[in-house]
Amino acid sequence: MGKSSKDKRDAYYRLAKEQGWRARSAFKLLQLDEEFNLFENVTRVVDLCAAPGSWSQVLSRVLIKGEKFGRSAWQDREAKFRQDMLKVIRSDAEADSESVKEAPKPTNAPANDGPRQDVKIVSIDLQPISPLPGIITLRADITHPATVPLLLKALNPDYDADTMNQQAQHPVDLVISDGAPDVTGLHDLDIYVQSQLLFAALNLALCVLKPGGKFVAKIFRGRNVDLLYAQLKVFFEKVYVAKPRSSRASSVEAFIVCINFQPPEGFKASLEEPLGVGSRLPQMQAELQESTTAQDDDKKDDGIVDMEIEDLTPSDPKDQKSIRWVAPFVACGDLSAFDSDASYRLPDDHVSLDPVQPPTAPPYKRAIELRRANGGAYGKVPVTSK
Amino acid sequence: MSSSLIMAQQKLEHNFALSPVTALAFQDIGESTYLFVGEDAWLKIYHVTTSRLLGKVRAFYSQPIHGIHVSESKAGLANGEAGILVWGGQSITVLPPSSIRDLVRGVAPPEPTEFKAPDWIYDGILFPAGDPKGALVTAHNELIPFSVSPDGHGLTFGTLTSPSRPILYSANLCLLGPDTILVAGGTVFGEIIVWKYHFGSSRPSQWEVLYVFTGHEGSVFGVSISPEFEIAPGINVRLLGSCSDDRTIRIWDVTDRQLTIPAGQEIDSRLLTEARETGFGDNSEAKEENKNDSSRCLAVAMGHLSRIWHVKFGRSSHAQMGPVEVYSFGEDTTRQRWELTFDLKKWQEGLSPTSGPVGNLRNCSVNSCHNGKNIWSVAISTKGDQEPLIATGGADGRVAISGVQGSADSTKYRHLDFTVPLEKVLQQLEDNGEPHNTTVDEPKNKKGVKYAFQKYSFLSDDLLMATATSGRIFLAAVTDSLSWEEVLVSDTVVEDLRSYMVMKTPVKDTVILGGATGKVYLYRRGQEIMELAHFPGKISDIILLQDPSQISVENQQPWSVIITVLGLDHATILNFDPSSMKSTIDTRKIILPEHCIITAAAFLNSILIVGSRIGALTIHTLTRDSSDLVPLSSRRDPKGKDAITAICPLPGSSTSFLAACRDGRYRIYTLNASSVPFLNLQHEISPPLGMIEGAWFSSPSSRSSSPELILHGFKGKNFVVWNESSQQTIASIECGGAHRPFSCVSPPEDPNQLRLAFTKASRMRFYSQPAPFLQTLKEGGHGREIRAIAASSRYIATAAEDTNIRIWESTPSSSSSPSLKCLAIIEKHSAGIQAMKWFGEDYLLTSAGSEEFYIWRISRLDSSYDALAVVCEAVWDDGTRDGDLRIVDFDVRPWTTTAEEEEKILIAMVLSNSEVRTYTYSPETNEFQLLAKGMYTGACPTKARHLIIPDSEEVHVLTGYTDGHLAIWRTAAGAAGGKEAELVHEPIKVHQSSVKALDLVMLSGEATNNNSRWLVATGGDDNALGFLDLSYDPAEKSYTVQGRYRVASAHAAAVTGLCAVAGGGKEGEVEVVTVSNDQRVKLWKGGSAKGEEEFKVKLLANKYSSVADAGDVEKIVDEGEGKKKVMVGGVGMEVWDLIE
Repeated sequence: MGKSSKDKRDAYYRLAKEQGWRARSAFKLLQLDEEFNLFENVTRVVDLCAAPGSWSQVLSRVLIKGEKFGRSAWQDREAKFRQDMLKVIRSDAEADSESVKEAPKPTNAPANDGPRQDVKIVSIDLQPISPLPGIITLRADITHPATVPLLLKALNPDYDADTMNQQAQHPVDLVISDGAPDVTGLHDLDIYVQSQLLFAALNLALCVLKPGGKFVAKIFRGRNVDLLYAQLKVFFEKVYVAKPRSSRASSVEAFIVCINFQPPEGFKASLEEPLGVGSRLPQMQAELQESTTAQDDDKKDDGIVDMEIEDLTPSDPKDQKSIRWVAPFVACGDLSAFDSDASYRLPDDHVSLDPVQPPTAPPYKRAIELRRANGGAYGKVPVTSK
Repeated sequence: MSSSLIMAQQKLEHNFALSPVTALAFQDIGESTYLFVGEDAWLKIYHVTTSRLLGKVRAFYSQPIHGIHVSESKAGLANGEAGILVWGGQSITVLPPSSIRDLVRGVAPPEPTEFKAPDWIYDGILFPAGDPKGALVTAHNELIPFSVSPDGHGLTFGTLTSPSRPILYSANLCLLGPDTILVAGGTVFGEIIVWKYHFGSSRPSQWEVLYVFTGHEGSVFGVSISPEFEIAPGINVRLLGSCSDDRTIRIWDVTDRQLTIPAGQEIDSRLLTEARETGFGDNSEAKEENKNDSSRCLAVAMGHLSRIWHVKFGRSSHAQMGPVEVYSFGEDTTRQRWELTFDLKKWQEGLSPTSGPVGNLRNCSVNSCHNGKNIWSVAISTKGDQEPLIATGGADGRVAISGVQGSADSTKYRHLDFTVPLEKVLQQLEDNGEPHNTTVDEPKNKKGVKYAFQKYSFLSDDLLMATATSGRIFLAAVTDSLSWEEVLVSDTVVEDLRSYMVMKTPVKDTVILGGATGKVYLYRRGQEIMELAHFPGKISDIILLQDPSQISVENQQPWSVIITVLGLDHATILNFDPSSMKSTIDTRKIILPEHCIITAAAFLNSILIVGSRIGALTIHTLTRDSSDLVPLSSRRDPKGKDAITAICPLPGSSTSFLAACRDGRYRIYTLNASSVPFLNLQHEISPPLGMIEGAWFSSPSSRSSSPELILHGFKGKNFVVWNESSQQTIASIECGGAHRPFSCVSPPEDPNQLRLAFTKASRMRFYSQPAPFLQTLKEGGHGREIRAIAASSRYIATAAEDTNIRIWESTPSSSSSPSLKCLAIIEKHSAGIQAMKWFGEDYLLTSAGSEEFYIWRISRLDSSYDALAVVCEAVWDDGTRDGDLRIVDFDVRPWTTTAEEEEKILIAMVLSNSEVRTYTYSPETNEFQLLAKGMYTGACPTKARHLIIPDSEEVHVLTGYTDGHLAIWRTAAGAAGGKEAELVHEPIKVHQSSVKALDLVMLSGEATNNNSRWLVATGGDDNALGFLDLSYDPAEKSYTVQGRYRVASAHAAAVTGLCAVAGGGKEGEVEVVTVSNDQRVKLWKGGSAKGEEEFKVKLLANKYSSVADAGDVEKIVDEGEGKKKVMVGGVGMEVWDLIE
């Protein structure tokens, strides 16, 4: 797809270029923040799997430079106008905004005015990240035990693992991860690999997050995702699954938003003994069962009657052995946001901009170069069909 | 469908599934070879030579099988010691030999016990004897031994062992000795770790890292350890093959040469304490002692167009330094054969980083094995020097196999492949003292160009005629070789046929030849050549009127051909009667339109159909005024000027025929013999051939089977023979491209046998095969995700991500295993299909990206050839200037108005720019008429449904959007030409985000007024199931929302498909089936039961679905059986019975 047709097909691709973001995924974090007020009272943040760095860029501009991004950054003015005209339930949009809120919107939160004091942001990836103002970038494997002291040292140059107290070892307010593997198409394997990436982020978060901290990570909503929700619930008071409007409806991608880190009593995180494989986590779950599958959620006040279902299915002894729970779903970014699935007409004189940063080189880059050098094919080998 | 459905409490029962084949393994038992096939959670066993499914068993509750290990010890099996190990994800089970015997006998074995390993498993192995029973390797490079209890129902895992825990994409285990395993793990970051694990009671378990290979620039998706090969006297090697995201295959030397490796535990501690840098191209696992390991890379090669999933070793030649066969299998559905050879000199100098690779991988063949994308599973069985048995399993659910040794007596044609230069033929005649024409013995013509082969024609399946540009005529008798003789003719004939001739075989053992001087000659086997006729000009072509498939059958009936002569305004029918040996010129001249060059012809009774060089088809008949065959009417369907290459009447039909064309399509027409006869196009399709050169129907020996359509032609540089009925390539032979002389023959009853002769690089290639190289062990379906399903009362249509549409029919369920038969495959869309609907049984409508909207006419053929005729009747062309919108959804209904008599199709469509449009389509004029347009907020629509208001000529459309709302649009009665559709009710919120699925039923029974009432069920991206109780008051012309209800976490993931299966009418409730990305299929009942006020939702069924990434669910009513079913489509497809 050419740049120009992608501009029409993907409003956020165009907006990202216009607003100087490294990738369209910046809007996902901004819209998550708008809904969950993620950055409130936050000064120490760790961004995992950060390359090419669009989430770190959001952190840099919001926390360090003190810029503000409200709905106006992604509002489709024509849509807003048409919504008013067509009466797409304004009261409803307002009701929406009340739903999961625990604090006022960032747009009128005084805490967000201007640059914050003592902000420390560390971005970690396996691939190098272009520098960003005020951000410490590390190239490291987040699953490696050595990464924890590396990270703590980056947050606090005086850090010494042997002398620091417990509190100093858990200084982080927010851990975010937008990492995803290249999918193979073998769905259960892709879901497994993504869950391992999520656990890698969680394991590190459990080592550095302070009680009350938040954790946000990408998740694939596929088979057995309810097992994952239940496992995350062991560590956080509230767990939501959020879909920003800038994330395509057709994509299985969503974000897990975990609020108020409350490690179970006696739990000690360690990358030497990571969660995600083995039986440690299922055992913890079994002990905590009740608290892990319940969450007080304000009922959505949108006039739709929430139903208690009558389950008439016969119990299947072989199924549902594991503890499952479905985190409440929250759509982020209000209705006037550009729609990532819609096609937009652009003015005739629209000039398509170049991306702020070219995408990272794929592993098959050399293969493409070689093929091109050989005149379009690798060599002269007959292809026969099935 | 929406008005009244019968209500009764129902449940779901699994009926049929077609899923990706994700595991394969061969096993020999006695004289027979069997193939284990892992398809979703099912383990199936097939008999290889007969392709018969013998038995199946569900290995796991809700986990696809990813691997099968068959114990290599045959003695073990016989002694009841071994069995097979099956794994997938974290699940494993061990099937005892008794269960395998049950499966082979078709008896259901005892249900296997499923165990869960602590992590995802990439490979597993069973030990020949003793305890532990076997071992597994996990996605974190850990080895787990396991033991099985004596009764087989208990399984215990031993201690996990690992030198380091990077996350892997592939692993392979190889038993080196009684207590040693070699482990190879390919990491996400492009490295390969090779380590050894010792077990056994005598010594404590321990490990040692042998090598860490770096070099791959992307994730390593496949690793495979070879057996030991002797590549030269005294040189034994063990190789490791790897394949990667970087599109390369690499071969590494992992031969154990008793090098002293430092004890493993030390490496362990260092690895874990040092801070590591990680990333592609950088050493993460590799430490100082591993820095030279990468010089053990023997060869690197590229061949696949996309990612490579597997690499495997085949045979090794006993010749010095190779070659060793290597096979690779990729996302591009190809399997590629490579030959690995070694440079002995470099080898003996030893491996060093500077010497360069000592091995070379040569790409020998590329075979596309599956539809769509991905080969997910592979099995190879080698037996000495025999062609190895290779099976591949695809995302399409198909199992393709090569190397099956057929029983010798069932085939006539042996495998032969010769390349023959003309000089060799002449030499052979000379050497054998065969009589030959000595007057034309110079090897070159006057211009100094060497004589070469000119034309080929099979006289029967064991006799080939080949002519030379010198004018000489040769015959080759086919046995295990070709034995040549020359047809002796006079010098004048040689002169006449030199440099120009046409040659055809009308019946067995007969050839008719035409030359530049207008003479036509006849040759009959064993007889001398004779002159049949003399025309006043160069013979431009000889057109056969007989079925060309019959040339291998004895026939003494009279036959006819059409002779066309350059510059003549007519063509001539030449008749020949073998009993009298007389030829006659038919009194009926074929009168040709100006500039018409005939390329194919056939009689339908007394009507002659003529195909031309520019693709026109003309009907010729005798008329009252003329004794000649005069052209009456003509049509031309190919877009360019491509020749009609064959016209074949359909078997058992006197009115329908097939015309093959060089534009790559074939078309089926029906002759409408009215006063002015004309042709109806009934079917038009592009099989995977670039240029069709010929077509014929097979004559099955068994009367119960239907004739199959066989096409041949050129595709790229290959000559391809294609079975359109089974959708399989019979042969694909590299020939250098189109436009070359060729001739081919097959037994009429067995199109899989083939003999072919053609010219390549001025030499003749002769090829003969007993069976296709690749055969289908198990039929498949779509190779990409199914996005839409539509069912008529007779057919089911499925449309997939790869733009293909398939039309299926349930096969009679007299057989124990229910299944679906694919009747047609339609490839025309260029963008992803978004929605599909039937209108009655005769029309299928499809919409896609790039503003594609097609109307297909579907009909049955009047023939014993059992196929469905499909033709694209209309293409919607009222799109935007850029033509880049998606037509996301649409709905159809019959439409008649008081003003018009014709029943039209009323179409409501929604486009990705937030627009809704209404059209009528006239099946008579094939025209669309725009009624009205409406624009929503800018949000993308997802669903559109008609709301039918009784006795109203207004059009009401319910639409769903990505913003979670529904809207209702009204097109006023009599609207036309793009009037604005009006929003009738303010948008109704039903979900928090996208409305992904929607269905509705109409409620009745409120006799108090004329209100219409619907129960609308919706599935959302927000995991919720919604119910909307909606009513319309025709007096007030207004809608009222009676209630909105939500089941918040109906599924664990987005609800992507929903259909109503019962309810509506007088019932106040509706039953719906929902599908989701969480791979559950659920049956719900929602509504207010009769006489009750309260709205209730009940969950009636909740089952694991084999379909990942489900895109649609559709109700199917099988009228024959009176059964109700639903079909789920996504990655594969699945049918569930609705049982009361």
